[in-house]
Amino acid sequence: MSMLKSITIGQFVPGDSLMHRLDARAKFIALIFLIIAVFTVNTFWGYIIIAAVISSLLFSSRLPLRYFFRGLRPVYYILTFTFIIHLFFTKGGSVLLRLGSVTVESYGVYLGLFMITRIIFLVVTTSLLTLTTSPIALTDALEYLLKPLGKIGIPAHEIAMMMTIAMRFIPTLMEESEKIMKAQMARGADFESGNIYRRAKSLVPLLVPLFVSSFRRADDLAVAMEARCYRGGEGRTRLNELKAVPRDFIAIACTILLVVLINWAQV
Amino acid sequence: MLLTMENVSYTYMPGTPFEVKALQNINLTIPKGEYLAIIGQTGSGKSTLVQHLNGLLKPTSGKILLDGKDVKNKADLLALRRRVGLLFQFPEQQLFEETVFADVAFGPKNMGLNEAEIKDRVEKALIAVGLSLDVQNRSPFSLSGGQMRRVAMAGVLAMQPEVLILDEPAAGLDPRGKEEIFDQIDKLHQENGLTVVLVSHSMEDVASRAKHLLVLADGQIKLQGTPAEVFTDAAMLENLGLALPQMTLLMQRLRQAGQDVPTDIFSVAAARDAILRMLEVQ
Amino acid sequence: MSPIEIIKVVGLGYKYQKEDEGEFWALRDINLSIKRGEFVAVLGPNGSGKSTLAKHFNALLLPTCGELYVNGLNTNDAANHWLIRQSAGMVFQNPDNQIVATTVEEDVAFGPENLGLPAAEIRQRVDEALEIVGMSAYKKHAPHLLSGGQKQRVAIAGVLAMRPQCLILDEPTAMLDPRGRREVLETVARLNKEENITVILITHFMEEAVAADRIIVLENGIIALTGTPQEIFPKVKELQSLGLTAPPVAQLVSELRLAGVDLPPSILTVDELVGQLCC
Repeated sequence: MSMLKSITIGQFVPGDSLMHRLDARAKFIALIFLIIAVFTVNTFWGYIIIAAVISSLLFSSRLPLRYFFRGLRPVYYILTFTFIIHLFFTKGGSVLLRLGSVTVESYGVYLGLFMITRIIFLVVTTSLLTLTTSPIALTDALEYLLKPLGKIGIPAHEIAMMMTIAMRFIPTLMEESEKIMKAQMARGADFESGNIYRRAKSLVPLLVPLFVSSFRRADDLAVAMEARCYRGGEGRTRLNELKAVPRDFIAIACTILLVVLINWAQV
Repeated sequence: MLLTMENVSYTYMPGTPFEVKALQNINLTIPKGEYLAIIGQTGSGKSTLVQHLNGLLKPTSGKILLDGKDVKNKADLLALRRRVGLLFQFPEQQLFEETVFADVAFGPKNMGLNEAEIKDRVEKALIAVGLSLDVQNRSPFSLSGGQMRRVAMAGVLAMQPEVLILDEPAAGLDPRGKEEIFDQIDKLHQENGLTVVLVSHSMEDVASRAKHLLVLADGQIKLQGTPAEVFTDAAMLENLGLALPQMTLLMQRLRQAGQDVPTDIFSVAAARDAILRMLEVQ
Repeated sequence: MSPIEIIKVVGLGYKYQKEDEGEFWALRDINLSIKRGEFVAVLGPNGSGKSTLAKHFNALLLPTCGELYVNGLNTNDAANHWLIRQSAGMVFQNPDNQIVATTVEEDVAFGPENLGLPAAEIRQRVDEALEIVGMSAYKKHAPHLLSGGQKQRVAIAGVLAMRPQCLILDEPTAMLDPRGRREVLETVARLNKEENITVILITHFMEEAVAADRIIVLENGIIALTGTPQEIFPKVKELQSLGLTAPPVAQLVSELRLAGVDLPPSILTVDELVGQLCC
């Protein structure tokens, strides 16, 4: 039992909603179109439409809303920073505030708000994908979608396999790092005090053993996979195959429609 | 009393759905010179308990006393950590320095000792775990698994603790390596007067060595006493999934079969003598 | 090679380059034949070459000299490796480092997926394999939340799903607690008896070999002893010199015999000994 296991930002929450049942590939593609929509919108009403679409999607996942907003925590700084930059450096419109030579102008406020809204949309829709899709379906979808890029040398299967293994081992390594940290603390190591330089240096007794063990694990795993007849993606089948049904195509069509609608309205 | 636990309870992640009561009302005293074995299955709370003994965890409720004094602030905690050394399971995984010397010196350095003192302590520690001083300048990663474990043990001994806690020190070793490491621990106890706390899930390994046993299950102390006292409650041990040492089991069976043999027997040699005596009487 | 043999080792030697000590023969002149359905325990202290030998059965290592046949297929021929790895499955020491996927059933499916089987067939094999090792209830669980013994049972299921004839276990219990160890050993013994799978169990604990049909003791890369448990265990002194410890009861019987007590040397359990002493 470890504290680190409780980190759950963006982690899959099983369920049976429409969002859960959609094919992972369809969700992936729909997400891409949604992101395009988010990045091309630049009118107030456009934002309202997208906000309406995204919030209805969130509700249809039947997950508590706080799960989505938890995903925003790591980007608080980026949000604040973005807003401040626009506030002071984007000029145009009427002057709202003047502090000596520094001015805050209305266009800056307007653009600042738009930008942080975009980032929020981005984070929330991405969390929607990861919260409603199992890691396996996610990597399978990625492999499927990347496969056409094999011709230009992108190893789709290998990327997906690497992601699976990473997800498999993150909890194991978390547990291990906690154990090593405690072992070094028992030898008087101090991970908590001192300036940045000292703190970075104090991580050496944690990171070296972690690297050593990761390499050993990688070696072991490679042998174990070979022993189980693994030889790359060639000729491999899957236990759970992805199956697309009409609603998956409809979902993609809807997001394409959204992009077209928003861009058409803005012309 | 060197170390005392008073009504200690510990809860992981209190107030969340993951809440686990890892320890409940633990009362335990460890006098100077004790050789205690804490026995329990995985998940019984053994590891949580020993982490309290050297201040890596703070009780959710209850007290830890060092020399009868409550461990409260950070200074007390650091003192506790210095006087109680803790060696985790598979400790070779914590080695990180370029040389054996540097790795063993890590603890003493953190204590702020001077060069000469550190050198002295490292050498003493390496000798105490049965390593030759030639390994000092080698990389710890070039050693065998058994040697690496000794280096890790030296790393804790170099801090010259009064109490040494070892969590499954023989895990993963072959029979010879196991025997050697336990003999080393016995020696440290007998010759250097070190207070020893062994954590184990095997009665077989510790019964003939420890003075006192403590059986833990579900975060509670179920049995406590000398090995002979603890083993009389065979039914309870079986319930907890802990097997009696084979020789103790044999003696209990012989007694059930009407033979007059002692039951406080844990080793092959003792069992041989007891059976020979029994046959003589017949 | 006769049809009752599943593995045959002829004059096998294996040499590798040690970092600063030059060439090192990890195995020398190994000759061995294992019958279908047999339960063989390979014992030896650390560094005796037992893991090196285990990796040869699955063609993960290839002999420097000599030959090894699995089902009549020579491991020296790379074209055979695929078939050999299907029929001789392998379970390793560290339960964490052989589980690939993020759920139990996906992991068990890994082998059959590599074989390119259709999804329905994979499903059937996965369910069956998990049933055999008693882990069906944990299908959708994440592997890191399982106990050591459970992880090893999942690893065994992963091999079973490939329908092997032979199971090679390389110190599968070394990192487990007594409960986990019992779980694994009981599973292995059942597979041998009920599914008639040939088992090669590599271990350094003698008590795990009690149920074996035959014991092979390795020392410094050569076969030092071979025989049934009843033949091997009474050789207490010899085992000790090889760095192994006979089970306590066998040790006691040997000591009592030395002291002149009339006992048959082949006693291995407490019950047998009580029976002999009290009647």
